[in-house]
Amino acid sequence: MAKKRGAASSRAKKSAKASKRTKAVKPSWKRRLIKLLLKLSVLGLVIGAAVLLYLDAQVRSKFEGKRWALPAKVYARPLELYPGQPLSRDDLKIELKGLGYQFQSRATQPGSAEWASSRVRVYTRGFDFPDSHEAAQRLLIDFSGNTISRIRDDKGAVLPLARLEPILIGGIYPKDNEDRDLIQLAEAPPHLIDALIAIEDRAYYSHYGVSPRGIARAMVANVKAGRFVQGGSTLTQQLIKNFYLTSERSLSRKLAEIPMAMLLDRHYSKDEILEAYLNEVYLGQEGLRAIHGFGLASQYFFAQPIQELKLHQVALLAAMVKGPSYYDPRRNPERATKRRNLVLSVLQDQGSITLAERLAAEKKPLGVVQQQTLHKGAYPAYLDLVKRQLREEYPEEALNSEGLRVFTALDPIAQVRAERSMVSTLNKLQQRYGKPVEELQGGMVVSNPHSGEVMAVVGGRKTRYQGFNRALDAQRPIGSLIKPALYLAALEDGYSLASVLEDEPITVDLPNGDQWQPKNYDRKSHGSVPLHRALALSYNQSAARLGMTIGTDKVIDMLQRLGLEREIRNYPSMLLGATAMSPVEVAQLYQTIAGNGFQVPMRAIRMVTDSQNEELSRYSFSIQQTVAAGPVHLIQYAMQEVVREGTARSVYSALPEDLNVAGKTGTTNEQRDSWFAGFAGDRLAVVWLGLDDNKPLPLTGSSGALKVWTEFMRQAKPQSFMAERPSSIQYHWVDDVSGLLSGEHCEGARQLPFIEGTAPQQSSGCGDAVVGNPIDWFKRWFRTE
Amino acid sequence: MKNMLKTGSALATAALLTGCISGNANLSPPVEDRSDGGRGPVVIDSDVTTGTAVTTPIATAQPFTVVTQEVAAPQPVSASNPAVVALLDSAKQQQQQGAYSSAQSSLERAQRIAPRDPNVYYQLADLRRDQGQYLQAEQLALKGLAVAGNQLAMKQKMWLLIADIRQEGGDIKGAKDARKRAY
Repeated sequence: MAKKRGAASSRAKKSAKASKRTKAVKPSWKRRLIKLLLKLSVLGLVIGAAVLLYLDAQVRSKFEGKRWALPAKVYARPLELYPGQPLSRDDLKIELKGLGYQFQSRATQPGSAEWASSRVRVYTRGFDFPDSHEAAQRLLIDFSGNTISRIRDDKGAVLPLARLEPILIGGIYPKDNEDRDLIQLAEAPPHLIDALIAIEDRAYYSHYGVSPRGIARAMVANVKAGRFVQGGSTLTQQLIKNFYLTSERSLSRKLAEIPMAMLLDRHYSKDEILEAYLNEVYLGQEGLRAIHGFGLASQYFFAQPIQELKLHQVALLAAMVKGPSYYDPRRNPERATKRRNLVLSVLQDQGSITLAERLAAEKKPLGVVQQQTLHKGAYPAYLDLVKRQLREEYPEEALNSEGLRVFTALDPIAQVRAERSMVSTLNKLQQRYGKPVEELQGGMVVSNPHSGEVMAVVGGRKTRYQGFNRALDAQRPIGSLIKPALYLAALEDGYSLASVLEDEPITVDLPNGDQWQPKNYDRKSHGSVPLHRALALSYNQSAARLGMTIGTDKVIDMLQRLGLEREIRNYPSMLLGATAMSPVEVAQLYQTIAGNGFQVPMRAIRMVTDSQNEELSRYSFSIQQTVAAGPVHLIQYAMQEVVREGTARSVYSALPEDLNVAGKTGTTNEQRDSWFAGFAGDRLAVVWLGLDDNKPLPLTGSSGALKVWTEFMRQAKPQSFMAERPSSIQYHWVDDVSGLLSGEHCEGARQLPFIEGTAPQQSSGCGDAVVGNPIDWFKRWFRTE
Repeated sequence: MKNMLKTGSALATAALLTGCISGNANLSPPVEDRSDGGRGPVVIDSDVTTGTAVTTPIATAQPFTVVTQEVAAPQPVSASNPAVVALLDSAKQQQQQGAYSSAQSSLERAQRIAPRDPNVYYQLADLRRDQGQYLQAEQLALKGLAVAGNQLAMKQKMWLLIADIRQEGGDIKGAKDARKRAY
């Protein structure tokens, strides 16, 4: 539709040009010429009227359209504050900075905070959540160490909980990448309108859309200066110009600007036009994203809502209108300061502000925040996940123009930690291994094991770069990460943690005539090993033997019950993780293990509402038990053994001893992939490291991905993992070598959980347990032997 | 109240165990099952052993030590946290007013704060029941049962809810079975 209009206008332009050329013909045949001119002028009138009508329609459709085209807003999770919450003051500061709070000696207005040694006062802005309105209020938050101990309101009443407003993390823009944050005229801070009119268009309220005097004044100024210094465009003309900013700026468009401005002025009130101007004017560029309007510019330059801006900030924004790039306060602070001060002096000249106000504002620094601290656009990998989910359900147009509100589970604090862990570990690995890991990349997913919510996504080493998203799209063989699924299938099939496996060479004939002969990492075979140790030390031969005994079908079935949504090929080497998966797919599998066999779909979006806060869709917490709690409890035990005694025991060089975590390392053939997947009580994280070109690395799962994972958990200080013991589980002392019953004080005894009926019946001969332990006696009393 | 729960818990779990095995819920076991004394598998053991892991002559570092530490590891947010209580209260009100979406939001907030509190799952399940989503309601109640550990009264409450859910969903036999397990 728009294209058609464009074509029509260019046709109109061509004919306009053609008529000019005819006028230039020499006056040899006077009469004919007069006739022709007459005809032409009639034609011109007709065309002119048509053009006017056309321009009129266009200006109106643009104006109305722009008023409503609003990109969807994507929010992070709101931070909940409640007594007992583990939250350090530094974490709270990260969050408040993300929200653009001003740290002051007294929190006197919404969006400010007061910092003291063990308490913090926060004046929240309030927010309209879909479920309830959170009022703006002053909170006095007491801390005890890294925990909130009490929250009180201004009257001293103790509050059970409060929610901060959520950080805006991004938008979903139309193809032209225009972003805006609509404001109403009444929301504009004092002096913004004054400043704009004073510096850009003094006759705004009296002209008809164009100002001949303004143009004349500009021309005089230009001639005086000997170069182009003033445009003489009215605000109305500038608005028209901004409507077409992204398309070509031809002469005809320039010519059309004047009648269009007059038409606009005729159709709409001065205030309506001004409001549109406030929301439309181009004020900056961040990569592909064009910053339109003062509402968005306020966030982009000051990380604050426009209502909270002070005089010096308002003056700077008004100053930038003339040349957003030339006066860019980040790149050209001197020029920007000079022009800001010019705006201030003009404001004082016309009596809008006093001299004292002007001088005070002039002394202020520009106050522009660093681009890196902005949250909008800072999480491309997470936003990628959100957009994929949205595009399955919403047409693109609804997403980029209807002002939808998208509430996600992104935890900016967890995200910052995940990014830092990834980047700092990769840098360290590079220092240590040099060239072979120069191009090392990674992907990481962090989730809440209870709710299935995705808290953070890292798509690669350049965390702000919107490129290949390895957390979602790097499909790589998962290696030994598959073993918990394999062993889980075996435990369901009647095996116990004490079952003795044979770690011996194995040869499997493949249908195509090849042979599969898996080796252990250390190239040795380890003979008889108990099942739990075979997993903890990640022996391949015993795992392959076990898998061939129970059958690959059972392992595939288990993977699907754990949450793998794809069909995977059934071949022997899948038993050792030849199957390729992305980190987010692996996270889903481990999520079910962490959730005691309850599968919880992983979710990035909590809810989508329309611009009026009406719910359009929500992604509720839902669960389904797909694996019995008993076998999962056993595998959780074995996965704790992995980190306590097995291939991942290095975690406790960095994590506190009393923090229970569980997980599994993964390394693939020739060390092309380094994996670790694991969880603590309230955090689950999956890390993959590798090269995009799939070349071998000098890294294993534990020397690579595990380091990132450990660093993340060290920073995150998660809750300890606490196994819930299902009623079908009993603990017994068994002899670690023979797998037979033993006693607490016997040599080589360890206590293992068993599903009822799978515990060994025979004793190893160290009689202590059988005689002296009433638990075992009690349990055998139940058993019908 | 807590003490009562505690003393009752051993009996309760034992009763449950016998229920599972013998199918006779009325049979009370002659011996207390100390293995059910705590939350995790570890707890039990630390109750029984006097010297904890140190006394055990195991060659390698042990996952068992993990277990004993589970006992000590504090749960940062307890079930009686005022925030959770407040959210559960408002969810109840919202549910009664038919504001299911807001109730769901409140419960999910509560779940994020106290993911191991069975009350949260009880209400989530009850909300789904109210909405006629019986399969999801039962799953949520089962999850609640799993996190209830040894809280006898809570388990009973949960089984009764499951019985109601099944009854309303048309599973009469399953409802009967659940009711049996409640008592």
